[in-house]
Formats: sequence, C-alpha cells, structure tokens
Amino acid sequence: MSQALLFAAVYLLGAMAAFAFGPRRDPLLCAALAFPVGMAACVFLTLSLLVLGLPVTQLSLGVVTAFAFAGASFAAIRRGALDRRALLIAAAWLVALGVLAWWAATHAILPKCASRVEACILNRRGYNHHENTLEVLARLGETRELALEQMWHRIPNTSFFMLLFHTVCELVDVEVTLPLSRVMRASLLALFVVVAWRLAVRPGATRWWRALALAVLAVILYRGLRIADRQYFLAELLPASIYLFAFVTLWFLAERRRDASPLPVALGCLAAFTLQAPETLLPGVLVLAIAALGSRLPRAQLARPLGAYTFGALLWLSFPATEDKFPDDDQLGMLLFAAAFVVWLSLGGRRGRRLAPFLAAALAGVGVVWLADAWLVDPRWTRQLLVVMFLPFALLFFAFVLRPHEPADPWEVEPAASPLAELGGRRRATALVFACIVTALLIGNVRLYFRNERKMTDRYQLDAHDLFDFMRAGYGR
Amino acid sequence: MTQSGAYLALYLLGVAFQLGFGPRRQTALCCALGFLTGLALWVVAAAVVLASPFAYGERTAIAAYVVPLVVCVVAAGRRWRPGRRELVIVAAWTAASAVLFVWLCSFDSSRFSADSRHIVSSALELPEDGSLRYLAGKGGFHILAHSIAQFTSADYNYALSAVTGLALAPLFVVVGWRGLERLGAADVRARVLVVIAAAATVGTYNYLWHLVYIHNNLGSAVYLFAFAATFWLAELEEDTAYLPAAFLFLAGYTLHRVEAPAFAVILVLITVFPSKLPRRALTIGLAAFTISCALWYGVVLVENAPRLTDARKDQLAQVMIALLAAWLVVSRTRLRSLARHLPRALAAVFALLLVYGYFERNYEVERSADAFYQNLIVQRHHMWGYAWPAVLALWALSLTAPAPPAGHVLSYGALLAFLGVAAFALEHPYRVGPTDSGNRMMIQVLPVAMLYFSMQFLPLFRDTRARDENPERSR
Repeated sequence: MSQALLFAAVYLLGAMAAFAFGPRRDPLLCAALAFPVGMAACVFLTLSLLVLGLPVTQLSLGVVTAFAFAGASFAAIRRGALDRRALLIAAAWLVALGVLAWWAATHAILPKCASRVEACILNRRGYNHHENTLEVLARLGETRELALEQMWHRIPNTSFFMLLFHTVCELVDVEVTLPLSRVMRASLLALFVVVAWRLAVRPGATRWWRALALAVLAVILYRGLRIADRQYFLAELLPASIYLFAFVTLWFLAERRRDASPLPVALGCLAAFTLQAPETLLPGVLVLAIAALGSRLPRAQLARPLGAYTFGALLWLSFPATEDKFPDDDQLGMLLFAAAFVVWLSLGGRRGRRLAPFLAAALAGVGVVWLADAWLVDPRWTRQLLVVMFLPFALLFFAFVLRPHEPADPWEVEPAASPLAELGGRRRATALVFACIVTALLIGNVRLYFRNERKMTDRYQLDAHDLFDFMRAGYGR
Repeated sequence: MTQSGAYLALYLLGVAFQLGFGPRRQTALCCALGFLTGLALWVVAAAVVLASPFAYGERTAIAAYVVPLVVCVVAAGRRWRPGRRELVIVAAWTAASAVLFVWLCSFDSSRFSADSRHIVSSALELPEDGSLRYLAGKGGFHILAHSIAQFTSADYNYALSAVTGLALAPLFVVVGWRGLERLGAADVRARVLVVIAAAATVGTYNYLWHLVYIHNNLGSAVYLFAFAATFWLAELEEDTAYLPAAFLFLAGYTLHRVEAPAFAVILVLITVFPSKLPRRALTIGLAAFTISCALWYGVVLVENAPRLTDARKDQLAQVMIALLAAWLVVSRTRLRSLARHLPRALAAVFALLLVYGYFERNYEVERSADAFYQNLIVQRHHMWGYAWPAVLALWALSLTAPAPPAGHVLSYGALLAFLGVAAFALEHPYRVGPTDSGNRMMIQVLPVAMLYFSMQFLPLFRDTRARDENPERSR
C-alpha cells in the first residue's frame, strides 16, 4: 500500500465519521476535520481490538475498518448528510490531500535512508519516542501481529496515540513519518481557516476583507508550525494541538448554532487529545467540564454524548494496567471523569454556568504552573509547546477581536461582542477583584521596598561626589 | 536662588499657564499639573533660546522664564475669575508644594550610572558651551532641566527626578476623581481606591528607584501620563480647554528621549486623528507641536549634533510635517470617520510586526522576550515586584468589562507604548538588569495602564439599575 493510498483511506473513514456524527450541515468543516478524525478512528478501532484481546493483523484491522466505514456511511446517508454538494467538496478535498500526500512522500529526504530503522532514528529526534517506536516496531517485525503487551509497555511516558498510529501504519507496510507531519500541519491549517471563516468573521463583512485577514493569519500559523515541526515528527505537540483546537471550536460552533450534532466528533477529538500524553488528561477533563457546565445547549442533547464519553473514559482507565503503568494516574483520571459527569448531571444549566469561570480560572492556573514547571526543565521545548498549542487559539482570538463591526459608539465595547464578556457578568464583583489586586499590589510594594532598599542603594554607590571629583580632575585629562 | 526656590518658580509658572490657557475651572487639576507644566514650558522656551542666535546663559534663561510667565499671568488675569474656594485651593496647594520641594531638596539621595553622569555633566556645561550637541544623544529635555542648577546655589538638581516623579501621584488622583465624577461614580469608596491605585503605581519599587536614579525615563513616563490623562479628560468632557496643556506635555515627552518622537507620532495617530473634538482646536495644537518639533530637529540637523544620524534627523523633521499634512487632509474628508479604527489597526500592525520579527529575527526577539520575562515577572531582580503580574491579571479582567468612554486614549496609549518598546527589540535585543533600556522604558506604560484600569473598573461599583434608568449619566 502506498502512503497516498493509506492517507486517502484514513481521510475517507474520517469524512464518513464526520458526516455521520459531526457538523453534517457544514460539508467544508467535515472535510477539514476528516483526516484528523480518520486518524483518531483508526487508533480507536485498533485500541478496541487490543482491549478485546483480538489479534491486530492486516486482516482484522481491515475488517473492522470496513465495518466502521460502512456503518458511518450508512448513518451519514440516513441523516441526509451526503448530498451532491457535500460529495463534491469531499471529493475535491480528497484530491487535494492525495496530491499533498504524494508530494510529501516523494519530496521527503529521509525515507531514502538505507533502512527504516535508520530513517526512524534520524527522523525521530524526541529522545523517548524513537526508542519506544523502535521497540514496538522490532516486536512487530518479529511477529507481524500487534499485541496488547507490546503497546502497554511504555504507555505512561510516551505519546501513546501517535505511537499506535505509526505502528498501525507499519502493520500495513507504510512508512509515514515525514509525510504524516506535513499532512497533519496542512490539516491544522485548513481546519483553522475554515473555523476562522465561520467563527471569527461577522456576516456582513466583505469577502475580500475576510480572505485577506485569514490569509495573513494562516501565513503566520504556517510559519509558526514550520519552525516548530522540526522537532515533533512523533511527539504529541501537533496532534494534541489539532485535537484540542477541533474540540474547542466544534463545541463553540455548536453553542453558537444551538446545534448539538457535532458533539460526538468533538468528544472523539477530545478523547484523542487526552490520549496524546499523560499530561493531557487533566487539561482534557477541565476543558470538558468548562464546556459542559457553561453550555447553553439542551441537557437532553448533551446527556447522550457526554454519558458515552464518560463511560468510554472510565472503561479505558479501569482496564487492568501492567506493572509499568502508574495506577494512581488511572484512579485520578477515573475520579476526575466521574466527578465531572456527576457535577454536570447534578447542576442545572444556569447554576452550572456559574461554575464555568471558576473552572476556567483553575485551568489557567494549572496551565501556568505546568508551563512554568516545564520552562524550568526545558525552555526550548516549552517555547515550541507554546507556539504549537496556543498559536492557533491566539490567532483565532485575534481574528475574533479584530473582526470589523460598527457599534453605535466605536469606543464603547459591546458586552456581547466580547467572547469573555459573560465572565464579567457581575459588575460589582469585577470591581472588587480590581480593588483586591490594587490593594495587594500596594502591600506588596511596601514589603518589597523595605526588603530591597538596602540592596539597591548598595549596588549604586556612584553618587555626585564621584562626578564632581571626576570633573575637577579635568575628565581624566 | 535655591533649588527648591527654582522648583517653586516653575510650579507657579505652570499654574499661571493652566489658569490662563488650560482647564481653569478645575483649580485642583491646574495645581496638580503646575510643576510639570512650568518645567515643560521653561524647557521649550530654553530650547528656543538655544536654537536662536542668543547665547544661552543666566540672562537668557531668566528671560525664558519671565516672558512666558508674563504672558500666562496676563492671560490668567483676564480669564480666571476665582471664588474663595479656588483661592484657598491654590494657596493650600502652593504651600504644600513649597513644603514638599524644601523637604526633597534638603537631602541628596541621588544615584548615578554612566548615563546619569552624561546627563548631569552635559547640563552643567551647557551654559558655557551653549551647543546643541549634548541634546541629541539622550534627548534634550532632561539635560535642559538639569541646566537650571547653574543658576541656583546647588551643585546639580539632585531632587529633580523626585519632584517630577512625585508630581504624578496627585495628578493621578485628581484626574481619577475627575473622571469618576464625569462617569457618575464618584463615591467615597471609588475615590479611596483611586488613591490606592495611585499609591500602588508610584510605590512600585522600580518607580521609587527612579526617583533617586538620575535618568530620563521617569520624566518621559510622567509626561506621557500627563498627556494621556489630559487628552482623555478633553475627550470625556468634550472640552478643548485641556488641549494646550496636552500638546505641551506631548512636546515635553517628545523631547525627553531619542525614540520618543516615534512614540509621539503613534500617540497623535491614536488620539488626535480619531478625536471627536472640534477640528480647529486640534489643528492649532497639532500645528504648534509638529512645526516646533520639525524646526527643532531641523536646527539639530544643521548643528550636526552627534549620536543621531543626519538621515534620522531629516526623517524626524519630515515625519512631523507629514503628520500635520495628513491631519489637514484627513480632518477635512470622510477619512476622519475611518480614523477611529487607527488605534486598533496600529495595535494590529505592531502585533503582526512582532510576530513577523519572531520569525525573521528569532534571536533578538527570543532574547528580548526572555529579558522582559526576567525583568518584569521573575522576582530575582526585585525591581517591579508584582506590578506586571497584576497588570496582566487586570488586563485579563478588563476583557470582561466595558471600556470607559474615550478609553482608547488610555488603553491603546499603554498598549502601543508597550508594543513600541517591544518592537525596538528587533533592532537591539534587551538584556536582563535594572538599567536595561527596555526595563526602564516600561515605566511609561504602568501609570497609563493603571489609570485606565481604575476608570474601567471603579464605575462598576455604581448601581446598575440606576445606570439603566439613566443611561445618559454614564456617558
């Protein structure tokens, strides 16, 4: 099987899943989501085979994938998602993806290495990823059958999702390292452009303005990802960024359109995000809690996908771990998922929405602490993380804030225009927070003054007498 | 004359200017602006003397004081009609200022670096040399202000930074209170919090350090704040009486540092161009500012002052004229309605420039970002304390609250001042340390940002229902 063919198969699987369980009224968004969703579907199917104890071979994987594709196609047709326009868009996107995959495969330098193992070593600079991958690949080479034990071995400290996807690709005799990186980058770029077109630009703005603004932002994103991608062929940064971005934007679109249909795909993307690395579990649960508690969608529409997701997460985390896996992580994860779902169930919509800002603040706090910790350990990697994970969100927010609009008074910020305006709903509370911050700053300043005064005075002992001595001496002449 | 006497004389000159040409109905504000106005007015007059064929000495320096004083006193005498309350305010403020000046001049706690030596020695030699060559390198304002020492009994103006820096505190309070009154939120709690915000701003350790460290950053911060505050009040009250003072402060800010003209052009673009004030008043002020700046840089060009290339001086003079020409065109056409997007557009341009710079000059930007992070956030150097984390938190909070009317003058003033400082990193990377120029320049961002946050959040204490019933009151 060639790389382009494999990518096309992944895309088709993802496209059918997106049309069936995603934003089916928006074919362009479905097409943009297709490849990442297809990757996630491949991983979940393989994982389900492994968890059920079935052997993962070309045959078993092919059968399961074919069933999944048929089921998704059936569901998409039944829901009326596959009209002529949607099929045309999906086909055009497939052609573009095929061309990109072919170009990426033929213009790759590293696959010309003498052996796959060499290519892996040269490509995969992440210090732990290539070891794990090579180990799994070596076992795969011996048996041609993927077993659960091979995968469990390094789960706690590796990017499990990508490792599994690469291994599946190896199983069908396709080396995807370099092209995959490029195709994923293009997928994120395409997803960003489509979402920004839908979200960040108001209806009524001229198309030229939209196109120009989005082109500039897309170029910035492309450049940012190009600089960062030298380091993450197998690492979790890029896929984590794609899946988190997909989840957040799909949920936001669902809220704006009052349409819960994209939520299954959104939750699948979140599951893919939480599988990227052990560190993504906690942010994943928090992001889900913020989205679910702050949601204005009908609870009946939310209950089924959320319940299914929570059940799946609990099942996955309760699966018996091997000796290398930290049981505490699993228990913590189970506790978090269960707690999030119970809190959502027990709180009404309005009361739940009040919790969302606090959870957002908690997430921000966790993020800041974690980033500061990571910065101390590895500043370079942390900078890459910032670029890859936050640049799409930052640019989307930038486009959202800068979108052209004409309020009655141009300097008066419309409360509804700010995506964060609802957080400040309690005006007096906001003013009180300001008062607390300013007072704390004043107290901190006083404390700092008494602690520092001596030190700074000692540091700058040069005073006027030095100058006048210098001048009287004729400036040293 | 003593040093404190010279400061008091400048204060009186400033008060006379404000009562003659400024917001004379706001007596406390006129007094709060007094010293800064007097100093700026005298420096501008002294710069005229320097650029003229007259020798710069004691007589011409006194003339540079007396001539504006006479004009201002005559104008104040004709226009200001004080009641008993106004006279008491002026007398009390003058007495308090005199006590403060005497106290600040009673001890010398100034601290020097190499830059401080350059400033003070240039200033002390200026009356003998009378040349412009000292004034181009570090910005002329501070050197001219320090040259006052030659006409006093002090060796040098060791209290100038302290007097200038402390002038910001009452100005912050008076402007904040005035703003709260206009926003319909001037209750006791809000007024107290304005005082706390002012104290927190001036009490920041780096700010306190610059009260004794002789450099031009503190002066530029104070004049930038004075410009932003007076222009914001002018927009808020739709009153052109603030404009003469505002443009004088802008000139004072422009003359402070080498990079200040570039910032001044940006300030004009985000304040004057989108302004709703009458075109005539703005044109007079802007013309006076731009033409005098262009003439000044022309004179500096002819004098061949060092540390500023000919091309740069020529460009500065041309940019000032171009700015005036652009205003004359924009203000007469429909383009003026588009000018309200300028603050946002300029912020976007700077942000994109920084992003572009990150990719094209990765080393400079990353090194500068690291220096900013160390200088502003990390506590190791102990200069800013928690000021910048607090500003970041308030900024995040500000996204959830409506902006005050005409708040763009303050918000985009602070934002673009920061982005401008950051953009200079593309030329030379900043470094870690208290004397790093990026670290010093950040002083000019803090007061404007704190005033903006105060005016944004404190009106939220108002009763929402009352505001909804009477929406005009909040405008």
